[in-house]
Amino acid sequence: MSNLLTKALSMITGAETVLSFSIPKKIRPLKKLTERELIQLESEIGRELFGPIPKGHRREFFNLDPKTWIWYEESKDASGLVHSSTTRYEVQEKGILKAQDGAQYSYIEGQELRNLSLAIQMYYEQVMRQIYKRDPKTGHQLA
Amino acid sequence: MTEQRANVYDINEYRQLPAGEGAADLRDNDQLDLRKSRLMSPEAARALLLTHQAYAETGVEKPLALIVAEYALACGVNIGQVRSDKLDSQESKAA
Repeated sequence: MSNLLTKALSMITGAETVLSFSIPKKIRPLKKLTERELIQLESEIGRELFGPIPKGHRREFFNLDPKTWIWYEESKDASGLVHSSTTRYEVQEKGILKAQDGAQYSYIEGQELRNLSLAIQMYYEQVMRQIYKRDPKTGHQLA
Repeated sequence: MTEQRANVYDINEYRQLPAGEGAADLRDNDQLDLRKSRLMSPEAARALLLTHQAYAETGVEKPLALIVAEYALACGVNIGQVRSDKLDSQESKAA
């Protein structure tokens, strides 16, 4: 598995291995936060941007680094088997490259491109305001 | 309280996409300076900046994919900056 995907998954799960999925501990307001915890907080906003999450499903959406956005979906089938998929959207010179589960690559276009743009905008504005208390337009601290 | 870093990009020119079909009403931002991106490779940042400038000079409508890529990058860089600020402010308080 690529280092980037491993890093992304460790941001989601807090574990180095993809085989264990731990729910993040409650983050105390005065506790010093790590980068991973900040991203987890952001993902709490990101996952809600796409509507209600079905019961038993898990979803994450977050900005991993300046040119990478991660979408993660996890669910269990009737037999209890966990199915998961990770989609990485990578900013490149030609557009946004979509990589699914490390195997399929394509530049997104059309409605998917518009949807991603809107999701990024909503993520950015809400994360800046709610987590970092910054004006998303100027970057200044909110009063 | 951490001071705002100078290279947080002003992206207030980007407009919300209209619902449904139709061209995106997104505009590039004159203040967007991809050369300030610290985490993108210099080559990739230069390529994006040159493309940005080329479209501005010719007046040709920039493809939506490129507009969205620039916007996504600006958001990513800005978020990275505020995260770093947050982490740094925690370190300075602890010191």
